Amino acid sequence: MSDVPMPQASGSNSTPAQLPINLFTRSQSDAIPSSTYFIPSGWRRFQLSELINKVLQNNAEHGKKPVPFEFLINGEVLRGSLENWVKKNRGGDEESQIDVEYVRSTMPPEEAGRVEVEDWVSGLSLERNGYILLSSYLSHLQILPKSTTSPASSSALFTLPLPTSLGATSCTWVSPPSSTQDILLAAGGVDRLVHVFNIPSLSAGATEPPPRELYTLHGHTAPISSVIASSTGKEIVSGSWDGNVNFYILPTTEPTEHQLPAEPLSYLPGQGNKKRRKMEKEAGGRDPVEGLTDGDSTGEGGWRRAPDGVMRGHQGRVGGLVWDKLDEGRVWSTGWDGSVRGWDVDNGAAAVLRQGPTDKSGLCIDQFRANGTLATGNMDRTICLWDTRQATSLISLTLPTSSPVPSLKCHPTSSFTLASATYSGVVQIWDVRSPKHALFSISNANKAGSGEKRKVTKNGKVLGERLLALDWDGETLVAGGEDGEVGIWRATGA
Amino acid sequence: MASRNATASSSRVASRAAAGPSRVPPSTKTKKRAVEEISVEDDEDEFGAAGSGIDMSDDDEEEEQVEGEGGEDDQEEEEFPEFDSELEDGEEDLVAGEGEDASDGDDESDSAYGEEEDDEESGSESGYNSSDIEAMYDSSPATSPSSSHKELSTDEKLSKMIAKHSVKPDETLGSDAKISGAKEGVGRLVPSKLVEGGYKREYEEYEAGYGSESSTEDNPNTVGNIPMEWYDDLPHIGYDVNGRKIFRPAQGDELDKFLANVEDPNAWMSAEDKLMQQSVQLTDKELDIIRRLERAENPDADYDPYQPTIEWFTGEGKERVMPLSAAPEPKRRFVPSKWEHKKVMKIVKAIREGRIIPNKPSAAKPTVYAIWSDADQANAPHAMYMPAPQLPPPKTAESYNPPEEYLPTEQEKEEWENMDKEDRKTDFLPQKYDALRLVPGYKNLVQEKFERCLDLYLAPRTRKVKLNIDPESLIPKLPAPKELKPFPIACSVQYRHPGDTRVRATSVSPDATFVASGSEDGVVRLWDLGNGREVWRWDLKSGPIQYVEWSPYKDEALLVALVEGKVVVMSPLALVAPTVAAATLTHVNTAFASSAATTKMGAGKEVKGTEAIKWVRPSEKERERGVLVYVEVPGTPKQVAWHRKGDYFATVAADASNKSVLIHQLSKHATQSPFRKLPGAVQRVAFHPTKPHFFAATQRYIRLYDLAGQTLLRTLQSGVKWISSMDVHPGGDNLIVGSYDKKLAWFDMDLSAKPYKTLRYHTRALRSVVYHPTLPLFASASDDGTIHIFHCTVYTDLMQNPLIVPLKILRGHRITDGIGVLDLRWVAGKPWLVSSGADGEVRLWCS
Repeated sequence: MSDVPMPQASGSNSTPAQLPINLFTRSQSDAIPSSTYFIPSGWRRFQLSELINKVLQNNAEHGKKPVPFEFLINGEVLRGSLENWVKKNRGGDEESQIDVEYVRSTMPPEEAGRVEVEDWVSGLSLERNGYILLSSYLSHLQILPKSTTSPASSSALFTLPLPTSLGATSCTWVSPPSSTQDILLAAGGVDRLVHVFNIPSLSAGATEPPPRELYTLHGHTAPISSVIASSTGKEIVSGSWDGNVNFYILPTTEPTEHQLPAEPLSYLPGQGNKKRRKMEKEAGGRDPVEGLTDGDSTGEGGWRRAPDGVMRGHQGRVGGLVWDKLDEGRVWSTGWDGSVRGWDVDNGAAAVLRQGPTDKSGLCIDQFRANGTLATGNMDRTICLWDTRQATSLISLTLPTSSPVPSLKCHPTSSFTLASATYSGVVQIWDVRSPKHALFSISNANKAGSGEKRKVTKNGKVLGERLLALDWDGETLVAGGEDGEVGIWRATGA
Repeated sequence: MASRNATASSSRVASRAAAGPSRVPPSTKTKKRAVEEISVEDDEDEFGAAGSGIDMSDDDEEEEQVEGEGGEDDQEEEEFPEFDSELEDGEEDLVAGEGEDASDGDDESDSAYGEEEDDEESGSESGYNSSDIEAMYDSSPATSPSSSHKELSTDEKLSKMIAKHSVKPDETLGSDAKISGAKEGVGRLVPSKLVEGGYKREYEEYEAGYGSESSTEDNPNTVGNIPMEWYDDLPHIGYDVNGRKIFRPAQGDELDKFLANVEDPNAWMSAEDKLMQQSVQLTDKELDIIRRLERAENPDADYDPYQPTIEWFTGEGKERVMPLSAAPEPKRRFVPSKWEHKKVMKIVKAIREGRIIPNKPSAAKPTVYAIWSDADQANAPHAMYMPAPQLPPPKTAESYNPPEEYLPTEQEKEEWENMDKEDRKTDFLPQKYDALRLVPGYKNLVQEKFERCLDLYLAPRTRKVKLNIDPESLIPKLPAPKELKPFPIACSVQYRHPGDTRVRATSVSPDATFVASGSEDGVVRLWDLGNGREVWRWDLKSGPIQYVEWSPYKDEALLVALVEGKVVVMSPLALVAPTVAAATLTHVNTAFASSAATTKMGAGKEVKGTEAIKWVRPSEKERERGVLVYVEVPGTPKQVAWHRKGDYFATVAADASNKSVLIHQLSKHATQSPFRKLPGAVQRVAFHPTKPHFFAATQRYIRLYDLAGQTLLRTLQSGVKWISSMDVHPGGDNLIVGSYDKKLAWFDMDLSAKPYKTLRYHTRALRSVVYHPTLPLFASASDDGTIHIFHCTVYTDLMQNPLIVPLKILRGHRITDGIGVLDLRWVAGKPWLVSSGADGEVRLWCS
């Protein structure tokens, strides 16, 4: 478009160099006609953004607000002037064309508050609007109210203790956000069980029937690493350190008997001998193994359920799970063996297998809703994007981080931005179009001098800067971990 | 008649010495004397005189002799007088009796003659008197019937001869039968004093008839070639041949000498004989020799340097007409050579084909030369040819008209002049002249030329063989670390211990799930490997945890921790699968005979030296926590090594004397002390990964025992001062040893008992060395706070040495009280490393 006005190019008296630039974008709404623009080399992001807004006629006359844009050249966000970039990367060659991609700018996250938890936060969920669900190693689930305007109060709406002291490792809302009564939520624990809780109503004050544990899902032989629920809220899939992915169908009505006999699973102190006797009565002649302080958790636990399907395949731990956002019948998992597997939940078959290097142990997984690309956070300090639609492609993109990524979340709508938490205590927001550097990095590390003595929790656990859990609903970003706090940020991200 | 000839010649030999005149029969002494006188008279022509003057009466005999010995030469004259007149008869007899058995008789008679002649002649020669001979004859009864021979008749003579030869010679008379005639002639028989009735032969002093120039002079001194002053203070000056002292001749004083010199006209030609210590007058001959020597001539007066050539084979009439050999003339002399023919035909063919052009004019030399050009001269391609170093070409500054910038400033000039001649960069100052003709004569020309010549002369003209080795090529070709990925690079997870406590030991569960750590606050902690959460803890409340080690058996979750005086067997029962927990409990608890028996001695067997070791059941509360067994051992156990099957484990204790190495069996609760006497303070032990072998590392040596055969298999000499840690390669043939003196030694047990490599790269003592169970990696930790990661490929090919490549240095542990990293463990199946340090942290290092 040669008739595009070039506000300063014609007016400038000194003769600044003009750079040939191709501007393009991958989002349909912001596309401008493709052409080569000669742009003064002194221009920065702001001028370029102005230019595009002008072309898009995003101004008050047309009733649209100007949109800030970011500019990416070769996967790097343009930070200085074009001239500097050319000097740095092209050695001052001002004649060859520069392909500049522009994206809608994401606003830097804004800290909205911190909620203190007494122990390490292991799981966070923002799926239900207005509430923060968190699980912690203190072996409880907490539901916190979330308000975007005011800093979240630290008082929890509900606190659901798990019948174990070993800690909860993950949590999820089971009931879809639409349901308001008898809301189910699930937590996986180090005690190898998935605990499903029932909350009659979330509305404050309405606590006549107290929340209780409804089901206890057995089947894993090692601590649970991840629990997810289907969008209908009827199925639960859990992954564990034993490498299995278990599939549970929740009954629609509350059952009247256990599917499983109590197993002698609890060796925990303080769970007395009365249960042992009870177990012996129930199990009927099963030889108690000497030394096992067996006891079942019926007193505190819910109805014991056996898995409806066990999907075996991972060698080593299952790191993370995600329900396919496009296909209801598929679950993706990543494991410590470096593989990403897709499972058909109906028949428990392994549908897709992508095997990466074995030391690329996956810790978490998420999926972009827009294009179905999978993103995993790995132990080898990378975030990998997996293109699962093509049979041949393996890892399509690798984003380097500074430490292992135990949790990441893709933007709910955008197909480019994702947020990640790392063991070094940094929350990062990435644009996959700019894979070299994160768009934003927020350090969660204690701002107060790090030379300080380590804080120790009541039960003797050292608090550090490590982050373990993160969630992002496109508006709010929460992250928590070793420091026993949940940080809340306002981050829109595309 | 060969034998006769022989006797004759032998007698001749004897007679020659005795000279002709002894022809006379020696019957009377006077006669012999006369003959001797005659012989003395006729000194000049001995033979002739003897021949002519003695007796012509023997003519017939001579003829006989001539007949008998036809081949005799002209010495016959000398020969024939030997035959005495006496013998005529015998001879005649012999001739007369020729009809008899000739050979025998002749021989005998001859020999008899010989004997007689010899005796007589020797007697005459050496001055025997007749009485001697008589005595001799008397003694032989057969030969001396009477003293006078002459009176005997022919018959008697004959019979006497027969008798003499038919009788065995008397052996008592010396051994004259064996003594040859020649010897008999010189000896004299005298009655022996030693043997009763025996004789012995006595010899005259032998006089050598040497020439005058040899050492036969009087009193030759035999002291040899020694400085004569050694005898200065002795009365004698040496010894003669017989060993008698030669006394110093009388010496006058100097005055006497002088006077003697003055008086003696021959004094000038006398010389001092050092050997005899007297002055000897030189003869004319000797003087002549001296003169000749002075003139540098041949000292031999008879030597004629110009003697005429004697033409033996050449010259007139001396041509050799006879061939030297009788071989017929070879064929090649007269048959044309086929080979030459072929050669010629080849050339002919070449000429015909035009390959060879005969009489080809040689290449015309150019008539005009570039006389200064070296191009037409062949280089001397000698191996040692070395041209003189060339002078550098002149530079711009040396020009007579250099550009301005080359001209020195005043200051530079001054500096140049003040400098020593040796220190000057150039030996001239650039100067500018407008024209070449203005340049004055160069006054240093001669000096410079001289120096140049001196340089060339003094320059060492040797070709230096310089070893041109690229230092890069000496570095072993190791693959780049990039190619050997994955290996741990960065710290990913920290397992933080509350408070300031050293974490002495760490261990990773065989399923890579949990990390166990033992710290000095007495707590064994169990951590989630992935996120560093402490998931379980055992507070053993018995002092610092010395060591923790997971059982390598994956179907059980067993952990052994060491505290002072106790080995604690534990299991995180609550965290593992129920089947695993049940298997673990069954394994550990079956040996408790009943729940009542909480204390048990070592398997009930009489194991010597294990009385103090008890397997104790912990209290129920502890058992609920997963503490399964206490084994009470003497001393402070320092290390645990598990057998791969997870039933046996060995502990090493400090200060437990001979019970420091113990092997425990979990299923039987039995403990044995494998060594009755220890080879030293055992530092580390390990089980062989595949064989029933057992490694025990003392301060300097590693011993390999066969547990089944109860024998010592090998002793490895580490060469380090104090071994701190040891690990066996999963293949079982390699071993690494870390030491407190900063060294790491790699043993290839197929190779030698000495380390294959000794690496020294840590700056402080090594604390731990570990092999990765599956990947080709090993790591070492040190008090300098670093962990070094190495790649190590162990080839199955025995000929190939292990490949060791340094990969990465991991830093992060802080040095606390001089102690850095204390323990290392690899994560099974992953290139991840877990380290524990004195700074109270356990770290996971990921690729």
